[in-house]
Amino acid sequence: MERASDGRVLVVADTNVLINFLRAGRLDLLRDHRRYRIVVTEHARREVTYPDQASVLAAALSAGDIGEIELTDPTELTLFAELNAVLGRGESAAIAVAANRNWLIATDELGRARREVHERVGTNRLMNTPGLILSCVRDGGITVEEADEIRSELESQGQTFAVSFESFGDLL
Amino acid sequence: MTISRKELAGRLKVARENAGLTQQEVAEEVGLTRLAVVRIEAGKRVVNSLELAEMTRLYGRGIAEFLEEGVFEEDPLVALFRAAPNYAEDPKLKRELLHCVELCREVANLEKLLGLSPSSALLVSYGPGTLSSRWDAINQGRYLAAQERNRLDLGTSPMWELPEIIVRQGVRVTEYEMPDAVSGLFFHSEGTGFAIVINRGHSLSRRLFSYAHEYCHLLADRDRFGGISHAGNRSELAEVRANAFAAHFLMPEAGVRSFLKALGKGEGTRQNLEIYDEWDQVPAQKRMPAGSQEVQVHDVVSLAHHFGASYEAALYHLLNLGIIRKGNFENLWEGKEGQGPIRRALRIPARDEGTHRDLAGQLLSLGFEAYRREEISRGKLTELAEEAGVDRDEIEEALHDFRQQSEPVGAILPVE
Repeated sequence: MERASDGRVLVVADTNVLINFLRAGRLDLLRDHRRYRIVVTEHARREVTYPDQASVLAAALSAGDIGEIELTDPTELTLFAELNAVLGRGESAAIAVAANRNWLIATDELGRARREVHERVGTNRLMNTPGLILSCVRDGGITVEEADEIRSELESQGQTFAVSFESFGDLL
Repeated sequence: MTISRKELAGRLKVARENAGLTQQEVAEEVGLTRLAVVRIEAGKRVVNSLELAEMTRLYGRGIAEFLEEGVFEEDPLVALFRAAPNYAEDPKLKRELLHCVELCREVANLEKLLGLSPSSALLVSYGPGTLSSRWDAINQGRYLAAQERNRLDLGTSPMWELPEIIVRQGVRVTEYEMPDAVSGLFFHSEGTGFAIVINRGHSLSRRLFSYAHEYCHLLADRDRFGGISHAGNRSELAEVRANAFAAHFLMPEAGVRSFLKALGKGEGTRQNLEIYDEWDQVPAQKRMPAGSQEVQVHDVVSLAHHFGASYEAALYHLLNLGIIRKGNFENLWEGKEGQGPIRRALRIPARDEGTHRDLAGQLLSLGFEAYRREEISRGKLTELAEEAGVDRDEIEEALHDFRQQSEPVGAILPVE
């Protein structure tokens, strides 16, 4: 696993994970994560379309709270192009980076996107939104109560976030 | 092996030039400065995946084409405009067609993912027949129309659903705004499959004629990778053949005669029959009043409506079939101004001129199925929808019932 200059493990996050933290109003958790340095690709700005979320993201990217990278290496571009035949641009870019740079990937996508992550990145370099929240609890960044509040907040906003456990405390 | 940055830069330049776009236009569309585009094309500035995706979309090409080793294949539009260079200068037409090519590529990709037969496997080819004169061209068009009607088991019925029939043969069909002198065009390539584009601004009857015309090109002119049918090339033999095909395909002779017979028209004023009764012949004769069989303006109006043709196309067809003579043709041509009041008096309903074919329906029906089968992601489906002009909220609503009923997920963390 590759590490940033500050020693944190590099994680490329797909836009769906980023949006979950924006919806919860807790982008600070990504900024302050003790173990992981969260980075997004150049597609994230375009894929976050709600104006309030977009402005928060823009500020976080400008401040360097979340890293932003571009895919310019021909090998990554080739993989990106191949994946874009079946996946959206943002998820294609994230998988291409994780596969080519030996980074971790954070994504909540299922179906074809999940299959591509397993095949190209591997099952052991994958995390999702609940996993990231859990890692914040484990590292002492937030309490179990705070984590469960985030979960409740996300669940109340739609069906795209449904977890199989009652409390993050059950996973510790 | 991947291609070098320099090779990628060169391909982007060629594709932009083929698309007839200036560096300034590309810069504005992609959100770059013109200098940035100049430097990218010179290989002095790297292009990122977002810029590359936007540029290739503008050029109507797939991203992968720019990165694959080997020969950078010719843009289908280059072949299309080679035969009609004047139209290559029309930026609106070119922009519409680039978009069309891109959608066709996505349709072809989805067909492949779904394991459907490619359009090249579905569409029959009659091969390019040698055309030495207009006479040949007209006869070939008539013959091909009869062959194709027979192959498709269409009988003699009208073909108001012609675009759907053509779609079922594996051809993508769509309509765009085009200069008035252009009736339609066709193109095909490995990446796009077969496509017909019709002038959206023309009347429904004219569009139907154009669909049949372009369909003929795909059946008989497969050696050409594309062509534009416009006022300037209508005397070319392939165009004459396609026009003859269109007239006979839309208005089969047997169907026309049958329709006129039902109107009590189109037969001789004197008809003779003879029956044999095992001993001898028994003659019978019927005389119709003079002039009773002569086709009138209201007959042409009814006939044209029945077959979905224009008054003019129906009239010429009657002449070519020998049902009317030159003198009668001229009278009926003179009388065409009266078709409107006759149409109203005969209570002939107006056809829905507002119904236009587009590729969005074809693309998204394949897209929904590919998403349902988990061949593409939701993100890809949303991109396809946006490319087809369907906005994000609409697609979310449409996807409500498609939503994958996944089990609640656990917390996934990497193995460290």
